[in-house]
Amino acid sequence: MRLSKHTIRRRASRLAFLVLLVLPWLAAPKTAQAYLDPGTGSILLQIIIGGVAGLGVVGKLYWHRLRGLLGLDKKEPQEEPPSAVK
Amino acid sequence: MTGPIADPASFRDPAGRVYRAGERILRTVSPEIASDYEQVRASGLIDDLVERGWLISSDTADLAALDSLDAALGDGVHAVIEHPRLPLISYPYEWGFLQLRAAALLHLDVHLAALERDMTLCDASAYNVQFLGAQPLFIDLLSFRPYREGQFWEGYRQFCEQFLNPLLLHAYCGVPHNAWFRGRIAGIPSAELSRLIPLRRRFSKRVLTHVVLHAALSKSVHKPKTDLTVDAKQAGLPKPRLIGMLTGLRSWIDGLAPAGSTATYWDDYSQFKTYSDDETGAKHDFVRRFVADVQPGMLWDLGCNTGDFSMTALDGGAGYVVGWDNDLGALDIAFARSLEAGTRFTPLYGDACDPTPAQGWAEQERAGWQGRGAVDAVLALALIHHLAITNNVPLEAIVSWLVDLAPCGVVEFVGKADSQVQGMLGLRDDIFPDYTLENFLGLLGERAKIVERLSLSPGGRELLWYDARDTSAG
Repeated sequence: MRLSKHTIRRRASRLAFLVLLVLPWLAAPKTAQAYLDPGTGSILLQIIIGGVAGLGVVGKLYWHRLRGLLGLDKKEPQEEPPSAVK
Repeated sequence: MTGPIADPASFRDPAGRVYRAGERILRTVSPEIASDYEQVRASGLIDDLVERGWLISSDTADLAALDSLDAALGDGVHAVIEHPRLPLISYPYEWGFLQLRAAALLHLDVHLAALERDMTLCDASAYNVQFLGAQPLFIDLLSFRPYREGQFWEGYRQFCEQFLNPLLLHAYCGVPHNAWFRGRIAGIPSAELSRLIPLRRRFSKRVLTHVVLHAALSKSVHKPKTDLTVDAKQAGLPKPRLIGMLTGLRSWIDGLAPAGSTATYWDDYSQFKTYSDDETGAKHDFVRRFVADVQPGMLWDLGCNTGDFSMTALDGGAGYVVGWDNDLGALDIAFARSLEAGTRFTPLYGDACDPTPAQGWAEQERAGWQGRGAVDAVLALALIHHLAITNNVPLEAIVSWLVDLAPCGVVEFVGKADSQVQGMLGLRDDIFPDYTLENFLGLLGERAKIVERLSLSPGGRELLWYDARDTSAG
């Protein structure tokens, strides 16, 4: 079966999206000052949505992550508190 | 004399606090956010949103006009603002699908309008939206802050938990959000919803992004090994992307409907139009007479269904009507019709046998039915037999509850001869020897004066207008 250009493009974009889905798995950025905890996962998602610049940061996170694993970086524990209502 | 009382739900954001001083609603602005607040004011955003009817109005409170205790609120704060008092505070777990959807769309519209003026919202709480009739209204003036380029949407997770996920639960899983949301007042977490979304819905880009990926990312950072931190400000969310996120969510949410519903099911309420027969017409006349005589500021219509009698009560002169029903389909119709007619009628999801409880922090943050302000009059039409026969509530308890809820009202007694009650008793033993009109009249007569009664069908349905305000009757 031959696939149309449109279908190929659509599938490629979906594939790229799925790749993005697993990329930032281990990263946990610190968030801006706010009374509300925005949730680290929610910020990470926005980094991805943010696009190219965000990808650079995600890549940098992995670099630090790798250094951390090799014992080159000091570790700093972080926990995500439960969300709040207002 | 007591001073202003801090609203028990207003404590999370240190930017300010809401106080009730008698009938007045006052809001303090902390010195810490004075500059932000003045920037927001100067941007013209507040006036613009108030003019559009999207935001509650606010005036600088005239402290000199307040009594000394209330005026003391002004000590050490940047400003004291006064808002008009809303007739009713309701909660997202009391809203039908259409109401929650309308609130979500308003929230997004308000946020987009703010961004146009380089302002943003620091949260996305569904509790910041209230209803005036069927019109959603944003009530938190201090949620607005100046926007910094690249700033993340801090309320994104809250928006998902309190707006998007509850709507998706109903639209994609066929489960109304109300019980779950009431059980977890922070809303429905993406991680939990993600496990329930049907397979055929999972692979749309929107569901993958806002639910599946969002849940996966939130889960991954809970793992103990994720200890790496960077300053996310370096990455940032460019403004066009933020606007894209908001408009994308807006068009998605705008197209959502409860699973299994047809696109127009809430438009087609003509079948519920009244006066289909003499009995219904007589009932409406009775209600109108009662309301015209009593002139209640706040009337509750218990078992309001699609709002037929709520509308009649408004026609008759009721100041505001809150309708409660546990039929979500009927509530959506009631909401759509109130919105269309622009009335002061707010239909809400609720059940007299399982009313909204007082809950949240110290069990005071979100009020139960009892904490919702004075109810001047009540309609309880075709309700008593559900309480007495379906839920086994003793007649005496029903009468006490009703008279305590509102000092006067119209209550319909449906006798055992009625076909509906016959149907209810069809599959169970009749353990209700006391369930008779005579007995009910006797109990109600002990607590209130029966001003007028009308027999709708012999041995079947009887309308009773009670008034407990005249203490000599009790």
